[in-house]
Amino acid sequence: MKKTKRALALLTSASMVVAAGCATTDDGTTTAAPTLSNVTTAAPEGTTADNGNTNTPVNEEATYTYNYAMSAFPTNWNPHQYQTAIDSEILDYASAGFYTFDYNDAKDGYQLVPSMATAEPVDVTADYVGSYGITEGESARAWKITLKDNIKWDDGTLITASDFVESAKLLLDPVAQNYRADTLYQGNLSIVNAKNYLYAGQHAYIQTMISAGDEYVMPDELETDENGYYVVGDSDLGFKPASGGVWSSNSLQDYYDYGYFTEEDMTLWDTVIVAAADETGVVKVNADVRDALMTFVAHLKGYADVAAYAEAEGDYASVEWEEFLYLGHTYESMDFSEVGMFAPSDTELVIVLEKPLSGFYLLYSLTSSWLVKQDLYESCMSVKDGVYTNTYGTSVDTFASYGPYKLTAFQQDKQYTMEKNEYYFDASDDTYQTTAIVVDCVDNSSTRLEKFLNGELDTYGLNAEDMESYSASDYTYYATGDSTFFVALNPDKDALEAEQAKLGDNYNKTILTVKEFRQALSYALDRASFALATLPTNSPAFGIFSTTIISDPENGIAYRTTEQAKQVLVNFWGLADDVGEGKLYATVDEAVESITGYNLEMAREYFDIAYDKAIEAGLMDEDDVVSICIGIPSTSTTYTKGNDFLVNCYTDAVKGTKLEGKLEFTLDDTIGNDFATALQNNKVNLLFFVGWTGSALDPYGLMEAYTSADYQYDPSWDTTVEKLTVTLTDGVDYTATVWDWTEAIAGTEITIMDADGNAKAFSAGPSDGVDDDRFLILAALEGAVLSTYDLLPLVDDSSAQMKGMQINYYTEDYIFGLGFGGIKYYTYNYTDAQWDEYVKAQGGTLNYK
Amino acid sequence: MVKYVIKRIALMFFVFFVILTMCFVLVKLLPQTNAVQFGKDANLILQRREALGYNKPILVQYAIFLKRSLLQHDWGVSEALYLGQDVWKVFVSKIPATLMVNIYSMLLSVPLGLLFGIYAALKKNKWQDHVISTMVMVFISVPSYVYALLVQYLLCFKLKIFPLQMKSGTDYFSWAMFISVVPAVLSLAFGTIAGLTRYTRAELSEVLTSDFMLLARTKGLTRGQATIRHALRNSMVPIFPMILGEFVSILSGSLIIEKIFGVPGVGQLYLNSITALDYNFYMLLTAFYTLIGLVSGIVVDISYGFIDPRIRMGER
Repeated sequence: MKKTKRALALLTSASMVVAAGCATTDDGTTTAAPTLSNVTTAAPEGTTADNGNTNTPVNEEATYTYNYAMSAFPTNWNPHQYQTAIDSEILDYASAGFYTFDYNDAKDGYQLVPSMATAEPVDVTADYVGSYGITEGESARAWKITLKDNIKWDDGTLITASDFVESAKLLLDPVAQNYRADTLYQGNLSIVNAKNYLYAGQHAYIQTMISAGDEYVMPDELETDENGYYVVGDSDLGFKPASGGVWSSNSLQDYYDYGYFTEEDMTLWDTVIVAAADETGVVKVNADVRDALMTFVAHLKGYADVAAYAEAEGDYASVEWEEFLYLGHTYESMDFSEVGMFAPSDTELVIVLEKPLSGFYLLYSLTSSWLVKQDLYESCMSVKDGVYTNTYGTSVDTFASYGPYKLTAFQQDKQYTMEKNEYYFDASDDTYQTTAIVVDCVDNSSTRLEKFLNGELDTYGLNAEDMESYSASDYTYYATGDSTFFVALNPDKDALEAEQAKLGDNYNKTILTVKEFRQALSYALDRASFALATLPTNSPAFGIFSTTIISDPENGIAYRTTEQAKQVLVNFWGLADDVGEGKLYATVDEAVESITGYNLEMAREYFDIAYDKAIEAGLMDEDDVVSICIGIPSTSTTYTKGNDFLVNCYTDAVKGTKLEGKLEFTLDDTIGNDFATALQNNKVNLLFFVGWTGSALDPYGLMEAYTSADYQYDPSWDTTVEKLTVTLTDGVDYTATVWDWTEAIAGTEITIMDADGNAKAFSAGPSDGVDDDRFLILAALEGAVLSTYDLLPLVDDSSAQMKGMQINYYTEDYIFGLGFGGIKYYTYNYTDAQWDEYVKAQGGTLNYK
Repeated sequence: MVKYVIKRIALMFFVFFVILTMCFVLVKLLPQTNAVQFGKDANLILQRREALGYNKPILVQYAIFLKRSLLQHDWGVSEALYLGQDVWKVFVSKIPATLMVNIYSMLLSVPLGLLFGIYAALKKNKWQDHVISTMVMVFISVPSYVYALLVQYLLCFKLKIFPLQMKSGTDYFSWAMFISVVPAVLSLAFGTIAGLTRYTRAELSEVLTSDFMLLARTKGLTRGQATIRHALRNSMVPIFPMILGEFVSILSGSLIIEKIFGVPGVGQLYLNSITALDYNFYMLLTAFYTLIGLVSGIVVDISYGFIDPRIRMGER
């Protein structure tokens, strides 16, 4: 399958991150997995710090205010609509989950414990056989959660199980189309009929006809209905002019608007496409529409007509237009009672799932909730000219809390204050010593530091510039994030040739398609120095998953600590033959420890090999200059430093090789949030500081980001063709495509072949009970991704923060889901009044060095 | 005069409409990246855009915008910066902080700028003039954020005379609030003081050497009387519109100063609305500031006649 234009702007999402583009908070509540810091905290003189392991007795009269600052501020924390982590900051204090993270007995890791629930959910699947599509023998499809009977809103109103059901109904309101409606059907927690209720009555064109792994259909093999419109199975086909389908952000409407169409094409567009569009803008596809789309595509690809395109590209020219098509689907109208959520009693909530889910991932899916205060919520709703608006969760008056703290003041972009919620169901004497939380919006990091040194803030996130002064401070705590950042390349020959042609003669880009060239770029990269030059808290990365990624969340086992994951690194970095008794490294651990990712000698060797191969293959001439365009989303200091580092590093690396003086770099700082699309189109040829975040507990799901054409930075790597052999726990080698293996660990049944050609149906989803196989596939897939040399691991994301002298963290180590204890476990060395006195006594400025 | 004003107002509305149209079309032409996330139902976002009319032809969208905003005074809700909130309400809620800081700044900088300018002109080429002129050059040459950071570091952090940030809350006339905005006011005022001083000195220096000033002195007026009654009024012709322009700018706020001193005003809104492609916010701000700019242009032009009665409207 050919996918040279799978330019997907959807990659510029909150999940896809660029290292220097993230808003920061100085609060230490962001999540990351177990690590690392062995820093001990010195208590201020004259105090009785308790090392964070016990709580200071609470003075009933005293106030203990936790102050911190954020560089950006929440604007909408409606649980049904919020869009960013910053927005959810208030919800972290003002809401609760059915289950929550807490320390394990040894306080060196996490466990999931009941929060609003009284105990773990009970499997009641057997009680609902015959309903919701549940059949005899199934399990883990219906779960009963028993709620505490003292959950209340901050005005004292009791919350019952039916409130959760009503809130779910509001969340799935078809009129609202809430941004977070997919909470109840996308991902692991997929409630029966939730999606159908949301889209009830709609005939929607949502799914593209061509998805990863699908086969194209030759036009003469497409079936038609009685009116001559094409159908695929039960679905009709629709073309949405303003939607790009597989081409994503590059819709044909855009090409039309931006002048890529010839005059003839514009006429064709107006007469065939625009004229056939229905009131929603969808064009049902018949032979005329097909011919028009084929013509547009051929012209956009630079050919005179479809025949010329077919001559050059074969069958693909006849089916490429299908990448713009969507499958029509009618969602039947239904009552909310058909949705798999109901309340048998005031304290019992039953959820019925589309597919089985149990264990850790079930509890993890229930660590937040969709609860809203119904009367207040409905008073915030309005619909005008078909546009739904809801102001719930935008001010003190439009929000209600049921968590440990309630919002008492909120000034946009300035400050908000939260105070203890006296109706919180889980308050106890030895937790939540903090009586109030005051959060300031302070954009300037130097101002935040000054406030921190003045004793006005209790925590401060260190910047690169601060590291020299505070990196060794006793008050500095380090936390490893869950992101690995890469240098990303997309060796798409067609696109590279096109870009190279724009530069004129004697310029070359196609050498990027030579694997050895990309290998050389990897070996030439001194990752440790790069981290020091850009963000010193980061650490060099050698694989696609950082040390915080957990592959066995049930037992809290980090992926990188496993033997298989270590072996992936040893193999990838070419140390496999050096491990063993009497060899360079006695153990795999020693070999892993030795990896720096930097080998200039080897890099130069590979540059020469790549050059020879490129010449031999006719990719470049001897007098060509290799021109690589580096893309950065903004001209922030970090990116500028990073770009300078890479240019210097590679310019030095080619010295003494056949590419000396033949490698030049240009910079494109105009790509903004379209950075991913820019690489996918090879508008730029190299990105750095790019990666994915937010899947610390689910590397299996995250693998799709690296192997699905919908998300890949390098869609030129066709994972639906690339074969991968994995030795499963039965000791047999099985082969399937990289994409199939990815589907398998997501729970889809695939066909795998053993060496003798015997086929076997196989799936390794979270509920398939083959966790060991699942893990082996994950490791094999990591190896496959790395071996493309399209994504060169660069640095693992880490952060450093200073803790103020007024507070104590609960643990010295950062624990996933809990941080250093969080607001629940922070304790105080001083009351607010004492703290003011203490700061004054220090001359108004504290010394944290 | 009345005819002139009416003509100017009619032209103003025409220009306003042209600018509005251009801005609407241009911002809509900016590519909007699909904000779809890994594992997210992208259709929720696409349907929202459809409901908002983003997929309609731009001119149809513009017609809807004009009808809604200008006829119904409904500027819509924010779709990015302040999700779901009425953009007009958000804007109005943020204006007072900007207004307060800028008004204090003007109240400080106009008298001081004029005084320093007059003093420097009267002491032309003496050491006082040299000191003032040097300071003026420094404050004009150095970007405002540099001395804003210096003010913050020295007065707020080291000497602790003022708080580092503006006080939270809406008690704009409290003493605590006043004290908290002094650093921002000072930082804003320095540049204006320097600019006014320079203009006043230059204009006044020129007028002071005019023949009519010699006549005034020979008529028996003291130097002070001649300066105040004749020189100052004449030199005000180019300076007054500048002061008027500064007053108009009090509504726009300063991006950098507001950022540094935590002023929750409107200074960053315009830029942020473009960056975030928050169409409704962008169009509200465009309309508002365009109108303010055009009105102030007319007011400044008319003001010339009041300052100097010799200036009259010419007729063809």
